[in-house]
Amino acid sequence: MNTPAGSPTPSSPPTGGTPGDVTERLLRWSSGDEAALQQLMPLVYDECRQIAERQMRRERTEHTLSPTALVNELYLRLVDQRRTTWKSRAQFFGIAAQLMRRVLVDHARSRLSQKRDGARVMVSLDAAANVETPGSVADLLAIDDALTKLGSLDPDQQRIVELRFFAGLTVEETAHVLSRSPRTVKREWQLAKAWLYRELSTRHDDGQGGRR
Amino acid sequence: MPSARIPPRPELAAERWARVKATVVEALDLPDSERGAFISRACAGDEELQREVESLLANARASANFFETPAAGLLGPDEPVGSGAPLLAPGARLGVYEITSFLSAGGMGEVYRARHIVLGRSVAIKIVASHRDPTAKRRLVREAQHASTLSHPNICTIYEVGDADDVPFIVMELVAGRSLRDRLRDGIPPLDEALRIGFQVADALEHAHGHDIIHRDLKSSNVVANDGGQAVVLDFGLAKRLDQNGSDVSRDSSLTATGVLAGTLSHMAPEVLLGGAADVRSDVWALGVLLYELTTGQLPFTGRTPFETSSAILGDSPRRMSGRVPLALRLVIERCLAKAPVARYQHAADVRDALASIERRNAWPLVGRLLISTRWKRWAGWATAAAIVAGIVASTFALRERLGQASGRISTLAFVPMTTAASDSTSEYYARGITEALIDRLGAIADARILAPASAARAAATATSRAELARQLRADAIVEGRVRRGAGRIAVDVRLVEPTQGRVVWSDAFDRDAREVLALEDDIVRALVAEIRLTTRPGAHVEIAPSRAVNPDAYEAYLQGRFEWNQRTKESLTRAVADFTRATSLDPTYAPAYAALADCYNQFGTQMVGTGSPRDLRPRAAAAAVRALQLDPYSAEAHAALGYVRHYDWQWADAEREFRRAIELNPSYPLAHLWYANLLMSRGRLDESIREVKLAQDLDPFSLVVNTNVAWVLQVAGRDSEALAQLRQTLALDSTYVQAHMRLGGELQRFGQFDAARREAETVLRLTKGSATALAGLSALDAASGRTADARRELSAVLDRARTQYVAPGAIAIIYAALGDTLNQDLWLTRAYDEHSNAMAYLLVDRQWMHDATREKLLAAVGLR
Repeated sequence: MNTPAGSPTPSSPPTGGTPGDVTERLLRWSSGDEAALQQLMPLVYDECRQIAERQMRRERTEHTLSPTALVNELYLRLVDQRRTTWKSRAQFFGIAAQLMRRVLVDHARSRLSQKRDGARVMVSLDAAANVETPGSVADLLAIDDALTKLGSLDPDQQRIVELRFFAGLTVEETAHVLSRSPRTVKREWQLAKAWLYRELSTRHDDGQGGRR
Repeated sequence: MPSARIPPRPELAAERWARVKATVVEALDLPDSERGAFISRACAGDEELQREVESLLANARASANFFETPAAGLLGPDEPVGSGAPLLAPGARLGVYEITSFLSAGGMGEVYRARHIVLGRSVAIKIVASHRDPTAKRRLVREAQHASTLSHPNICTIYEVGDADDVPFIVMELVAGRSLRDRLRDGIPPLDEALRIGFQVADALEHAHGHDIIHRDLKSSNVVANDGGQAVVLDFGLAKRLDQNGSDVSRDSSLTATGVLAGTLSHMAPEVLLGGAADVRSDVWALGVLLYELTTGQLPFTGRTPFETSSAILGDSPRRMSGRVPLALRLVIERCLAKAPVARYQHAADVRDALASIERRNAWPLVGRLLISTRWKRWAGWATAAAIVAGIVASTFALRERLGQASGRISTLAFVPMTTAASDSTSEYYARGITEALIDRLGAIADARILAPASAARAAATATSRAELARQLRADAIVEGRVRRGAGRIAVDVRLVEPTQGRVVWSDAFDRDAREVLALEDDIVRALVAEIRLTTRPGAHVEIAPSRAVNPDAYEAYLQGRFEWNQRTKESLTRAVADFTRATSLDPTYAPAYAALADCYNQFGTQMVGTGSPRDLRPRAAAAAVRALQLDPYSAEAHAALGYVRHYDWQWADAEREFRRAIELNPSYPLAHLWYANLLMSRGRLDESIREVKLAQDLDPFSLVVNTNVAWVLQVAGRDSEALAQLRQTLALDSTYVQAHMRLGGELQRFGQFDAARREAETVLRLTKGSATALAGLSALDAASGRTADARRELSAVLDRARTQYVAPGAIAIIYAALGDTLNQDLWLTRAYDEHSNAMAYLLVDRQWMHDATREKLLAAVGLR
């Protein structure tokens, strides 16, 4: 082997981040270096993509890896926690959640372009409902649009949805990342869901759900 | 679209949204009934605002489940975005190996079957699918390096780590057989096979843990079993080095940052799920999940979504196990699945040994064999038992269906105390006594957990419904009934109730001459066995033989005595002795009365009841127990009572034999388990003791003495926080229970919390109305906490009492020990030794006697050294 298991990788490989890279850039960004964020994003995006792919490859029945833990896993794997603070952890979770959203939306979009019509990534509006039931599903791309719209109205709401729905954090974890009380996050989450639900079901009724 | 109503200028939109948000968020907190008024008030006539708020609230209700599954989980199976097909085709070469076929793909890599081109040996080769990923590559190599140090018949052997064109690969033993996950699709294995597989997996884990390697991803798809019943654990794929404290060592921070989440959710321990470090105990958890799967065919924690599964792992009890799983095994599995790592078995070896002991002990494990085994040769061995129940079994299938038991078998029965008709003069004790007698008899023959009468009665008194009662007791079915007496006859109506729906699934009336009350009980037991299709244990036929007649007055006296015995106070025990003695004089051949008498004498000798010296009482207990056994060698109660006598007479081996025989005869007899646990504790066999006392607790969950003794054993085993929790739980059952206060005080004292300990000692003093034992406890506490003057004053009061009444000498010796007065301590210890005080049996484990020179001599004298 060229790289013994015990020694750290000295420089960044072409794809994927190493703790050194990610941690370094995260620390620089935390102390105000915006350029570091630009370097950080592709590294984390790539890791998010790998996680999402793994998630999709897996048989659903086996429940391998909890989605609630996806971003946790990412953080633990990419960031050297001995060197970072709680603040940079929260920042990391924030961007990882955004990037996870982008990965999933990009995936939905590429699937749509590769395949014939009807290959949309559909998300059930009601966990108990069958995805096949008309009126109970929304296009992941439509969700993305609606969320962007909510974000322009209330960026906090958008962040909560990213952390909860795209990064899979629990209410408690989300509260921790946002430095809010779980109670507040829970109520705001309810509100965000209500807003999105209305937005998405209205579109559907208007016959706009199938655009793109 | 609603958002169209929002004014275009952003600052105004933001202001408006802020009002909407504040109102909605506050309204969400209110009950529905108050929302309307609140919204009108908050919107103050702004109709548009009010419409918006109401619309969002309506949508909030509709969207309750919306988005609760994280996006990635919703995407489900899809073709891989990256490389889909296996990397290597048959015929491809990796060094000296030629790929023959693709076997499987796992989380970390792909596995192929391959052949050594020179030696012809078939092997399995694992490579990382995305081998250009340096992280995965290094992890793979590390996996191999660690796992190749392991050599164990139940661990898949790593032959070598190769590298061809920068593709690292691992060459492993090709294991024949199917994975347990595969096999479980065909149904669960027979119990003995499940135990054997569990044993082997536990042994494999223990071996790996001994080499500082944890598996981290143990699950049914990672264990292969062949037809010979040999199990091989695969894929120490995520194994990590452990340091000496059993925690992770981050040798390479890029890979082993503490708590990297990997593994399979369904088998993941709560602490790992929360991002904590995996250790030996998270493997023990996974082993518990595996055992659960093996015995039930299902997973203990499930949900519709991974999120729900995670929540179940973190917060729920394991799903109820099928009744076919023997109690002892259920307890082992439940302990593996304790949420807190400290509450689990601390080593895989403990699980292994527990499984072995279940296999060895032929009391509980026989559960299910008659049912599970489809092999006729097994039936042949039990022809005797089978013949006796054959007629019974035939009529039972319909009833099972009526009970709606998918698993087909009732494993836990709770008897609610029988009632008496209002117009009847039958006293409560008689109805209760019949209930107890039925429990004893059924327990003696049926392969089921029969809840102890006191716990069932307690639950019946507090539960608001049968369903709740059943839940509290974890019972599958409830037996209720009514007793009537008159004109020399006894009539009992019995019904079996399915608790969730409250349906009466079976009922019958029994009526006999009062002299045939025992036969009447037999009728009922026989009918229950038949109707519920309870399996009977081998050898049980002796007990099901028709009972002889008993003198009705003797029987009544016996039932009165049982009623008194259950109160367990000094006074009630004295009355119980009188009742049982009367029963034996009315019918000198009635064995249960002798056994009960022995129990009373044994209780008199305990420090708490303490009515006299064991020197006088124990021979009487022994005589009664022996007499009971002469009359009925199959009496579990008599064997247990004799075991008790032998225990405190330091006849260690004899005692153990008696207890084991008692448990064999009636595995549902909680006191046999309890006293056996005490014996095991005496001998320092703490793990066994804990197991045994928990069996008692399982049978008699609300018993104060059992619960207190669970705490005692935990305390002795150094599991202090659990012991404290158990004591507080016991006191929540009954805040006036003296023994629990005493133990709690002792525990607090040990931790130097003298004020809290004193509060307990004072409570004991108050509850016992100033008993000498309580006073001695307070004195010892004062001595230990430096209040020497108080201690001496209390001591002299105790010594005063000791002149006129019996005070356990050990209690006085402890005070002198705390005062540092070794001369007097030795004097009282010698007395304790001379009279064979109960305390002498616990020299090995009782911490109060530590650091004592005399202790070693005494230990040798009682045969514990």
